[in-house]
Formats: sequence, structure tokens, C-alpha cells
Amino acid sequence: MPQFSNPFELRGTVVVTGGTRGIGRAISSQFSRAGARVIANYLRDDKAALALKAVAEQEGLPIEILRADLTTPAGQQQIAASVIAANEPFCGLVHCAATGVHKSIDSLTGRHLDWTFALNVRAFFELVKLLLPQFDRHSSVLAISSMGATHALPHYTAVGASKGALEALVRHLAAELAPRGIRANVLTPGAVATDVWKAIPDAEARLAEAVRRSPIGRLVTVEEVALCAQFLCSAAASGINGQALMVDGGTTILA
Amino acid sequence: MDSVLARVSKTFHSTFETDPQLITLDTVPGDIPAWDSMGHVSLASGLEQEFNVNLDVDDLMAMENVREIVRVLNEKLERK
Repeated sequence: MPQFSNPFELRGTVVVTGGTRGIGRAISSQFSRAGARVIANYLRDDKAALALKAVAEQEGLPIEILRADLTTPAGQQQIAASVIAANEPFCGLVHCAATGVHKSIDSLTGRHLDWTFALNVRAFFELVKLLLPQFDRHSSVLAISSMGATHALPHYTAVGASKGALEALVRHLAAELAPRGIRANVLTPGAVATDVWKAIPDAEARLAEAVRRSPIGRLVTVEEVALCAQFLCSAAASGINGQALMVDGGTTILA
Repeated sequence: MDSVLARVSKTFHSTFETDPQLITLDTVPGDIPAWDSMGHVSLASGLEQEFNVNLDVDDLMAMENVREIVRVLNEKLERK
């Protein structure tokens, strides 16, 4: 095990999918401040990616933005090429990229499930497999999940099912990859105020309800989620493997 | 009958509340803040309803911008 003066610091290269907006952006920023060289992947929002790049340059943070479609072999190869080109130990993959169709069962189709699973589960699986030869002996895989993996939320059937599959996949990876020095865990944020809510029906009311139900009386912030992600990927968590850490202010402990 | 582009524009409006006048063949995701990965599947769902077609994962991958959306939809409509 490498020695750290600070067990929470990070090293090497880390890929953050969906790493230029919301929780992913917070993780990219925090990980770079903690010592990692971050490859922040995105697909559609050039403005957000360029804004992150500008901040990184201003603050001297080692963040590279990389536009790639994770659902395609070509996009996955782009990620792998970038990891190899970094020429540093590859120490982490954080899967924040996600999509989903928010519909009730009456409107949901198998194709909606296919679309949702393609990015949320399949792309993650393909990336892990492709990057396996690159992972350093002491590295981490972290998947960002949601409460919908274990709880029924309105209009969340497709996304929740995909997150449940993602969590099960991570547990199995944790067991299979541990002998290779790769830990795998899940981080489950509760309600966090990001742009993702724009696509969710009744967002305002549901966020207000989340605040009301939260024992800490507020939503969790992206920075708090990012700090937990850093912990799970750091040497301080070297005994944690195959676990799902809930970051929700205690909301899910309520009856 | 409205052109494919006009109906795509209508779907953008119902999905993202965009001004229909702003949607052209040159429109790309960066032009519309809500057109992210989540927005993309919402848009695809709306396009399926508007055009009464089925879009698979490969179609979604191909629909990188409005020009490609119109191309994919034209192909689907020709096959009907």
C-alpha cells in the first residue's frame, strides 16, 4: 500500500463520467484539489464543460475535459486512450453519467428501459472491462446511484431499476476485482439540488418535500457528495469494498 | 402537412419549452441547456409520440444534433 501523509489524498488519474455538471462536476473539482489528475467526461453540454475547463485553468487544477459518448465503443475507446495518454497510474473510475425516462408504468416501454440501461449500466460495464488492464494495483471504482435503487419513487421505474442493476453489478465487481487491488463501491446521494431535476416531473414540490423530510432540515450539497466520493476513493477507505454509502442527511432512516 | 423539421421543432418545444423559431438544422445540444443525457431521452420519447415511430438505442446514439434527428426520422418514416 502506498504511504500517504494524508490518507484522504488522491493520486494518479481518475476518470469521472458526467464530470462537467452537477455532482460529477463537484467530484471532478474536489478530486483534482485532493491530488488526482481528472479526466472529466461529458457528451452534450459544451458550455458547461468549457466553463469547468476555464475554472480549472484559472485555479491551476489538473482537469482535462473529454467529450465522448459512453454508450458507443468509439466513445469508450476515447476514454481508454485518454487514460493511457495521461501516462500516470490509473487510480479511479467514477461513474456519474446517467440518463432516464421518467414515466409511469402505463407509458413506459421496453425501449425506454433499453435507453436508460445503455448509459446507466451497460456503458459502465463496458468501461470497467476496457479499462481493467490500466487500473493501478490500489485503485477504486465508484458508481453514483440514487435512492430509487432501493425505494419506489414516482415516475422513476426505469431509472430506479437501472440503479438497482448498477448497485448489484458493483457488488459483484467488488468481489471479483478485489484480488487485483481494485475496490468498488456505490455512493447514493439523497435529494441534491442540481439541473437533473429539470427533467423530473413535479420537481419543485418534490424538492420542497425532501427538505421537509430531511432530519438535517436541508438538501445535501454537491460538495458534501463529492467529499464522500473522495473518501471512498482514498486510502482512508481501503477497508471498504462492495458497499453503498448513503448521503442524504438521514432522510431514509425515517419510518 | 408540417415538415419533419417543423414537427421536430414542436417536439423540442413540448420537451424543453424552447422557442420553435430557434430550432434549425444547425441546432446542437450546446444551444439548449436542458438537452443533456436526461433531456435527450425525454426528447426521444416525445419524438416517438409525435412521429409514431420506434427509436432504439442506436438511433439515440445517432441523433447527435437536429440535422441527424431529421435524418433518422426521415429514414424511419420512409420505411413505414
